[in-house]
Amino acid sequence: MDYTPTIPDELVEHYLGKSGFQCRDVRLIRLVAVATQKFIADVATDALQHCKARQSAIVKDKRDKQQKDKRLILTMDGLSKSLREYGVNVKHQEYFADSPSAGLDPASREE
Amino acid sequence: MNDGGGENVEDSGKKKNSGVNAFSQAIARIAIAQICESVGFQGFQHSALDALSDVAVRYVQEVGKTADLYANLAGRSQGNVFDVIQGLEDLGSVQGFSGASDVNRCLFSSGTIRELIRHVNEAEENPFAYSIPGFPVVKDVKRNPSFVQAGESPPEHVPSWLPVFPDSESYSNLNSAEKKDSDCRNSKVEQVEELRNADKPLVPRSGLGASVAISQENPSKAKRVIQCNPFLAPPLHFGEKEVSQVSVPIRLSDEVSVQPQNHATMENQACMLETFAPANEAVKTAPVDLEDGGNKILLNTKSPVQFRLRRSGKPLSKAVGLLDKDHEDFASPLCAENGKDDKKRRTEQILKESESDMQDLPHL
Repeated sequence: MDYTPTIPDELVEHYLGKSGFQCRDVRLIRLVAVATQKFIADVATDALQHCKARQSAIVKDKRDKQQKDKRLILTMDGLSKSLREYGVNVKHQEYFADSPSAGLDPASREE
Repeated sequence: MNDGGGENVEDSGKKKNSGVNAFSQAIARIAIAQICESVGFQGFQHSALDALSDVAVRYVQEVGKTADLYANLAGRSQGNVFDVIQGLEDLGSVQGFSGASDVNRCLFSSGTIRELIRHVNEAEENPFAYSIPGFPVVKDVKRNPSFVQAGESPPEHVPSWLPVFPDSESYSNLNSAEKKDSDCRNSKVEQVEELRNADKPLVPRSGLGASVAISQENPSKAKRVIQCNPFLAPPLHFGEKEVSQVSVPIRLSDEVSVQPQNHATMENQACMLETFAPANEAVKTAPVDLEDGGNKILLNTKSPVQFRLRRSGKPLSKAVGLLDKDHEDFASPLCAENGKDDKKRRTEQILKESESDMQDLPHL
């Protein structure tokens, strides 16, 4: 009970209730929250590895753009690859105009 | 309502219904972003974050579904830890976990739980950044109290758990208005029926004996209607106001007296009279006798020739005036005008009706 999962209890309770599993036991909710957190963390770790691997490949090719590609960004590309291993098939939007810089702003400001 | 998996958090304003959905999705996004940050990411694409949070939400829902399934399978409506663990195992069976092949394993020591414990021990605690109020907030809908709650006794055909009736003023007023309306309608209906009834004797033409079917209780009603609306007043009977019947006979009698030899005009008049005879008769409420200097003139005689027969040259108004001098005040021009208008109106209406009747007859 000491460990507080990142995913808030209210969110998990809401979605559990929506799916039909109604319980007011916080321990059960936390169990599900921790399990979800672990699952997401595993997926994110895999995606991070994909990202690192791709970055190293790019860095080998072009050393000019080192600065821009230095940052570790969760992209749809890496995410779909890592999710596929977990049984989730996510197709990367081919022409989706989503710039990685959109998510970068707060991080870059911090730095 | 999408099943918690929509990626359109930004355009949640489109749907009014998705308030809770958008809120929970936004929270899921924040939580997933925190997890990604703790893993080591420094930034993310919005689409990737949306997809990942969607996956997380679906994961939670899948766990809930499977746990509920196992609980129901065991004959319980409320799930417990074992159901949840079995659900987690089901979801983790894609990757596989240690000890999955052992059928008689203890659920608490299953590979999934051990992995979870290891993860908890390894990962640093990273609580959610914001404090969240309990959601969804359910608004209290204020309902009307039922008969039982209000302490009223319902009518015998109404169950007591139904909501009470609104205040009596709200519908009693309506009732009275309706009554008035229906009164007016009734008077109109009466009028029309009266016209019909007046029309009826014309069809069989049963002669003098056929009395007009204007009912006797009409005058009282008519007076009442007059009080509320003069335009809706039913036409007067002959004898109530003795003014207006004069005009047509005057002309005719004059013409007859002046040019008795002009047969063409006479025929013309006769034609006209023929066409108007039913109406005139109706107006004059058929079996009324006009005394004219001792001569009895039967207005409802069928053929228009009746007008030739009259030879008195006296205007009927005078005759009538002679008849009742007490009521001379009734014979004011205004009243005469009114009577004329009334007659015209009725004549037209009756003509129309007869026409329509004639048109209807073939169908019948």
